[in-house]
Amino acid sequence: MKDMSVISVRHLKKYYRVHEKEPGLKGSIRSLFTRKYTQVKAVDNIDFTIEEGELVGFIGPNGAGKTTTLKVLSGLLYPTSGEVSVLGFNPWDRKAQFQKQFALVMGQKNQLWWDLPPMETFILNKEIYEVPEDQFKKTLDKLIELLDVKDILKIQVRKLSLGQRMKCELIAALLHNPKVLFLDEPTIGLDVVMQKVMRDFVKQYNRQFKSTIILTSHYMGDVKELCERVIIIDKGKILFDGKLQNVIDRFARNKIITVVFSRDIDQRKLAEFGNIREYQFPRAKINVPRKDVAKLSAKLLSDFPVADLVIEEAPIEAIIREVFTGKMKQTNA
Amino acid sequence: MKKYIRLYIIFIKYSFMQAMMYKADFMIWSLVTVGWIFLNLLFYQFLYLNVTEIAGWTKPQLLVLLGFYFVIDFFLWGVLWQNMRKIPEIINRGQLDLVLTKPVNTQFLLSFKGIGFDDIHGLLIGLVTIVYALSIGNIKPSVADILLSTAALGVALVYIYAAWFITVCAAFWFDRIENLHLLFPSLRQIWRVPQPFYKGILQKILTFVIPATLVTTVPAQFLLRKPSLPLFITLIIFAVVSLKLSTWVLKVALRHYSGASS
Repeated sequence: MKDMSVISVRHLKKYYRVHEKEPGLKGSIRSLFTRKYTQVKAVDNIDFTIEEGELVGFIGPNGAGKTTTLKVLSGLLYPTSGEVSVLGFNPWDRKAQFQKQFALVMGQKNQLWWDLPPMETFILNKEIYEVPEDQFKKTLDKLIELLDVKDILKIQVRKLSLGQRMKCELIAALLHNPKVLFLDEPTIGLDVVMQKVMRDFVKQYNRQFKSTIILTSHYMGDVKELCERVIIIDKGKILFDGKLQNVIDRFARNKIITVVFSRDIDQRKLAEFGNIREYQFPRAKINVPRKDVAKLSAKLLSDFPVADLVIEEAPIEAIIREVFTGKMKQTNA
Repeated sequence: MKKYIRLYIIFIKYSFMQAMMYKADFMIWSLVTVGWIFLNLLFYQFLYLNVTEIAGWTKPQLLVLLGFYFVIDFFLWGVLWQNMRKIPEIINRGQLDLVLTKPVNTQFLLSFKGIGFDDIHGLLIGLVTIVYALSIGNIKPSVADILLSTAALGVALVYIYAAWFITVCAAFWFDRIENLHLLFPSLRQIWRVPQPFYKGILQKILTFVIPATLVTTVPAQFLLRKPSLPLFITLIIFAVVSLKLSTWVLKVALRHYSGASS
């Protein structure tokens, strides 16, 4: 089983010790002599496996443990306990053979040489990863075409826009055709247009190169558009691992009924149906429990002068936000 | 090994290209370097107006040593400084992550990625000073002397590199030490004069505890045909041990980094 998966993580724990300082000068002086340590459970006993060619989204709020997990998978962090295997390697052995087969792209860190055109970094990476000349040319041409960066290859990196730079960062990271790709917040700080370009690229890349990709992002848009499967992580624990669509089935307690009335109605009466999200005549939006949707919409139609009625799922962003704020953890579990 | 030579050639090329982008900076620092060298030379000229010998070293002999001092200065500032300066920054800003994922020796990437060209005149002037001093002193080293002297310089550079790298690795444990990278090169004032200038316990310390006096003295002694085998061996031992220690320190440091950073 373990050998079949590209990535397998079992009982992974990563704890940090951070020292606490009491406020003020007194606290500072005291911390010179005795330090109080607390343990932070960045990743707390998680399990998952990822198969070849999968594109998996890691979602979670800041400090959930997403980046820590990626760093363990990249061999940057030693786990406190647990087993991790990526392409059959122990990542923290940091074997060159392993490092030549994966890439880590971090939206907030760059590897391009600041004062030189991006092409120079590409050439350097060719040497670092020992990419054969013809393969280098082929891959580079393909990536240049996919990302449409032909015109900027000879411009100094520091003169490029953030979006252009990010594209070049991606190329630099992908020149050795990694089988596994970790993308940590690749769209951070980018405008909507550029976010879309990045998403399209990741999707295409995953298809054309059959690489296995883990993507972390704050933007639900990234995940919604790219990943069939998501792993929701919070406070170091996995809350959900499965198809994005199933997040709704599992966590959404309510549906939203939008009603358009033909005459003004008594809001108090409407409130009996569920939580009114907004009401501005003639339109009202009500949250109703999923199991009662049919019954309640029938009753709405009979009790009120209804011109139109639409039943919708709550937006996935809202559902996941609620998952994180803990409101719904207990339900449907 | 071939891969590393190719990488180093690329690093030299890129650093040169970068230096050319900042021509004014390059020019000003070149002037500063040359200025310092002449001040140094002037100082010794005046010193030897009053005496003919200090601790058994004549003016031409001391100038040979000074030549080595300039050559080593090029190595310090040109070859190493850019990298040593950046190591604490790379660690504190989390840039190390990208270095660590590369299939290349981490110590190599941290130590030799940047080369400065501002001090390249120092290298030339250093060599010229040595040749000039040998001629005015009428000192004629044999080919073997020259080879041994070059070897001793190589050993000295290994020691300097390794010891410097070790001190900079402190940045792995302490979040912020201002000017940590300047701690080691501050010793260079010590090797501006030969080892016999120091007396008593100080000489012992600067030879056998921190062998700072040896890095210029030993190569100079070979050229000056008054070699001291014990000092050469001491330097070799320090170089080998420091180099081993530097890789070990980095290994421990990375283990610490991997365990503690977030």
